Amino acid sequence: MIYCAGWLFLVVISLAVSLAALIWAVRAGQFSDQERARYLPLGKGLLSEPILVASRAKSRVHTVCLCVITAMACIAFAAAFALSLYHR
Amino acid sequence: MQLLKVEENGTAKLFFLSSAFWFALGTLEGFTCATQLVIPDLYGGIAGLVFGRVRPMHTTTMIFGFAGCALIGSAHYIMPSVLRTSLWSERLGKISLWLWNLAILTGIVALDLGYSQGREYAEWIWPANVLVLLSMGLIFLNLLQTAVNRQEKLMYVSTWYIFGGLIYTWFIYFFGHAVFNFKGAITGLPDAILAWFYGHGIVGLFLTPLAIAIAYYIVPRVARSPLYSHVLSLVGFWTILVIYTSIGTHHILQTPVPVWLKTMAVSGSIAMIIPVFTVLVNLWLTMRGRLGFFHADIGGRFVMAGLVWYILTCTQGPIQALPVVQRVTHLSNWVIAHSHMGVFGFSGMIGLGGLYYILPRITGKPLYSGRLADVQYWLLILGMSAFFTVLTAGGLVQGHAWLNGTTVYRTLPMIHIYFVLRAATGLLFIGAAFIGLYNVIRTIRGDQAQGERIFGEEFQGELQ
Repeated sequence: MIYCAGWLFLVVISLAVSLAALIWAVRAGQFSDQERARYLPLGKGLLSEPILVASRAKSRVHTVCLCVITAMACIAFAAAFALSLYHR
Repeated sequence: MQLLKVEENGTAKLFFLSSAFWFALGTLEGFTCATQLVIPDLYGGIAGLVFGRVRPMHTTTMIFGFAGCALIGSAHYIMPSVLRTSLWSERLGKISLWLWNLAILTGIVALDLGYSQGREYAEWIWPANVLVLLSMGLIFLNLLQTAVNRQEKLMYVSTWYIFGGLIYTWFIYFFGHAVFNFKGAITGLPDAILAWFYGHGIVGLFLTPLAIAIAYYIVPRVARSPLYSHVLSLVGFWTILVIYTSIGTHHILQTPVPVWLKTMAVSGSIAMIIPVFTVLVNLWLTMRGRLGFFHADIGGRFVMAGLVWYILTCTQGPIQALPVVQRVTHLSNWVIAHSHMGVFGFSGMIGLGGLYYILPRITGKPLYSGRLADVQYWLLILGMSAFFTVLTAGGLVQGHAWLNGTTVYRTLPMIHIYFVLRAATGLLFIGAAFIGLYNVIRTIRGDQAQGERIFGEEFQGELQ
C-alpha cells in the first residue's frame, strides 16, 4: 500500500483542484445561462464568411471512406474478442 | 527583438509553424525506426540512429512537437475568441513558445546522445522537463490572465477543457517524469505506477482535452449552428476529470500491482465511455444535416476525421483494458496501432484541423494551396488506415502465436511482412508532413498558389 502513496497523492491533488474549480464555477454563475453558452463559438466575423458546401459526389466519397475505416476497426475488435475467447 | 515580436495572433501562428516542422521531423524519426524493424542492421550500428534512441525521439516529437504545438497554438486563438478579448500578452506567448520548442529540442537531442530516463513516454531528462513545466506554467498564466480580462462572462466549454488540460498535464508531467528527483526515475513498482499514470494521462489529460476544446469550437462554426447542448458538454468535461486520472494502471495489468488498483483502472477505462460519448453525441447532433459544409472545409474535414478516430480509439481502449482481451493484445503491435490511432488519428488530425481552420483567419488570406491541404488529408487518411490495419493484424498474429507457446524467435518471421508494410505506410506520412510544412510556410508568407480552385460551391439554401 505504501508504495502507492505518490500516486494516491497525485489523485487527491487532482480531485481537490477539480473540486475547487467546480465550487468557483457554481458561485460565479458559470452554469446559469446554458442556452446562451451554446452560441458562444459563433461570433468573431463568422457572418461575413461565405458558406461553402461540397458537391454530393465528394461528400459521398468522404463519408464512404470514413465508414470503411469504422468497419475495418470493428472487424479488428471482433477478431481480438474471438481470439481472446479461443485462448480462454 | 524579432523572436519576441508582438503581433496579433503571432503566438498561435508560430506554434502552428513549429507543429508543421516537428511533424516533418517526427515522421522521419518514425520511418528510421520502422526501417530498422525490417532490416535491423541497416544503419550499421550508428549510435544516434539505433532503435532504442530514435523511438523515444519519435514518440516525444510527435506528442509534444507536432500534436502539442498544433493544439496549444489553437488554444491561443480559441480562448480569446470565445472570451471576446485579446490574448493577455503576445510577448509572454512568444516566450512560452520558444521555451516549449527549446524543451523539445533539448529532450530529443539528449535522447539521441543516449541520455534518457528509460521510461516509456517519459524519457526526457531533467533539464528538458523543467523547460516543459516552465513553458506550460507561462502558457497557463497567459491564458488565465486572458480569462480574467474577458468581456464574456460565461466560459464556453472549450475554455474549461483547455484549462483542465493544462493544469492536469502540469501535475502529471511533474510526477510522471519524477521531476522532484533530480537523478530521474525512481525504482520498482511505484515507478511503473507513476510512469503509466503519466503515460496514459499524457494522451488523456493533455492531448484529449485540448483536441476536444478545438472540436467544440470548430464544429459549431463550420456547421453554422449552435452547440447542441452546452450542459452535456460540461457533463463530459467534469466526468473526464474524475475518471481519467485513475486508469493508467491498465497498462500494467500483468504486473504485481495491487488488485484494487487494477480493478479501479479497468472499471475506470470502461466508464470512460460516458465522457467520450457525451462529446461525440453532442458534436454529431450539432453537425447533423450539415455534413456538406464539413466536406467543403479542410479544417472541418480534419476535425471530422479526427472524431471518427476518437470513436474508434475510445471503443478499442475499454475493450483492450479487459484482462481477457489483453492477454492476446498486450505487448504486441496491436498496442502500437492503438497508440497511433489516439495520438495521430484523433488528436493529431484535430490539431491539423485547428491549424488549417485558424491559420487563414490569422493571416487574413486563404491557405497557400487548398489542393495541397487536400492531398495531405488523403495521404494521412490512407496512411493511418493502412498503418492501423497492418499493425492490428500483426499484433493479433503475435498474440495468437505467444499464447500457443511459439517462441519470439519463431514469431518474428511471421510478422516480418507486417513490418515491411508498416515502413511503406510511413512514406505516406512523410509525404504528407512535408507537403503540410511547405503549405504552412507559404501560407504564413502570404503566398497564393497559381490556378487554385475553391473546393465546394456557395451554399444556396436557407440555414435553419
